[in-house]
Amino acid sequence: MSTSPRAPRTCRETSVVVVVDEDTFRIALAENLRDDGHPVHDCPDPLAVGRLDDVDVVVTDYEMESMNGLAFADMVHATQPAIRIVLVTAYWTAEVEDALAARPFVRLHRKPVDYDALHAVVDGGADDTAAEEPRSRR
Amino acid sequence: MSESGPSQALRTLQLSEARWQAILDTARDAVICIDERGRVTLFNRAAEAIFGYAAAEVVGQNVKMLMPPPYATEHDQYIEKYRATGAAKAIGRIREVHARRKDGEVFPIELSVSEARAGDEVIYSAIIRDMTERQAMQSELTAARQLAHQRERLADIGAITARIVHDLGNPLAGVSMQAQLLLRRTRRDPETPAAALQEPATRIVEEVGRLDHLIKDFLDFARQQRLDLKQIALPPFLQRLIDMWHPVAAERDIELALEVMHEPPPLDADEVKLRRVLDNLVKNAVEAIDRGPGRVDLHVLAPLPDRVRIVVRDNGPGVPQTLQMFRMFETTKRDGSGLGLSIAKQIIDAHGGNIGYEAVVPHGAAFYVDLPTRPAHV
Repeated sequence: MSTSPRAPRTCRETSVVVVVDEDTFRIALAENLRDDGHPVHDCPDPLAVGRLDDVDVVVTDYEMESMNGLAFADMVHATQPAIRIVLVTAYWTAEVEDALAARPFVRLHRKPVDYDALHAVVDGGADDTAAEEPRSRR
Repeated sequence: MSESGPSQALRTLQLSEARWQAILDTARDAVICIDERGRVTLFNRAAEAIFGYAAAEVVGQNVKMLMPPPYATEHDQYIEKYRATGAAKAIGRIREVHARRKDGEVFPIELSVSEARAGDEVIYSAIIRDMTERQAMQSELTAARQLAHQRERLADIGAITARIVHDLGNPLAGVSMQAQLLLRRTRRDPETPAAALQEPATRIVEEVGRLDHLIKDFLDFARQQRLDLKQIALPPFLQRLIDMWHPVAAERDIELALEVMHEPPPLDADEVKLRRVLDNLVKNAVEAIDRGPGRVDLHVLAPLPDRVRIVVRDNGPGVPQTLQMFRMFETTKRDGSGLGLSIAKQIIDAHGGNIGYEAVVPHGAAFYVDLPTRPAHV
């Protein structure tokens, strides 16, 4: 049995959930993505996100009031491993680096975020290159 | 038949001599005896091991051969002075000084000297402990402590830096993303109506304000608190504070009241900075209750003639026990910098006062500020 390669999705088909509790950032990111034609659901609270059945990408913050972004990423990955997860953070410590190194399914973008770079990951065209990879501790 | 007379006395003397010799031979410390002219009369095995001399090389020589300058040059005068005046510098005390080995090495010792007399003869006995290893261990311990302290400081600096980067990075990220939204929209459609740009622009201005506020808090925290002391009459000063916060509290259905239990003495304080502390405490109390009905009370007490206590008490949910609220970055607020109370503590410390917290039963928080009426060290 052979499997045919998955047809590349167009950006207009990629649905995104933005889970960030910083309102200004979340609203602007969601607006940018909507302007690019993505169906976007934005939510400040990971516990209020709801079902993620038709979601392609989750963009989440690291530090949030109700739940840590990495814990949320773990939860998403455990239930929906096909969903691409992008973590954005202004918090950059060795502990965060170690936590990210243990989660290759999480792509990282450091704040302030370059929208085009993040959009390339959302779009699926920059799975392994555009995102910042977790750095090993020296 | 038992021995008696001179032979018994001789045997007793021999036994005593043997006992002392055994003690001297097995002692870990050097035992050195000198006569009143400073000549060595006894040099035990430990002394040989410590100083590197055989006893035969030292006995009969002046003890100053075992001393580095300035002890060596001063020793004869010291003995002379002691014999003439009885003024002892070393006798009867334990001192930390330095000695010199045969190879010239100067090393630390602990020296205790005693004096014994037999007829006209005077014997000075010194017990000497080589402190080289102990001092080396102490030096290592001190170095290790310094290193640990340095690492702790670096870790603190690292944690503080990470926190500052985070606190500044979040609003900056919001500003950046809003600005990118504006740019992309105007590039896509140069005729974009201004109204469509108002909301992103407003959010940028708000976030810049948040950044500005944060930077000022950091600067306030970093700056040494210099006080401009003036005499303050507390009741009208606090009434102005209440009047300012009253509309904010009323809008949230929170009652705000001032109670001056005793006429407090006038207070020498920096009015602007003290106002900032109390503004912070009242603001925290109002925000802790969030929506009323609730109550915030200011009490003024004079527990001592030269001290006043101002208490800000609320009936909100209280403060989590684990929160070290006067430390930097400790906050329960979503948008709080965690600097307000640490700055308040700096200000009150600068007045020679004290700021603290007590939980209120069944729920609530009471922050108190104790101030001397006349700060002593400002």
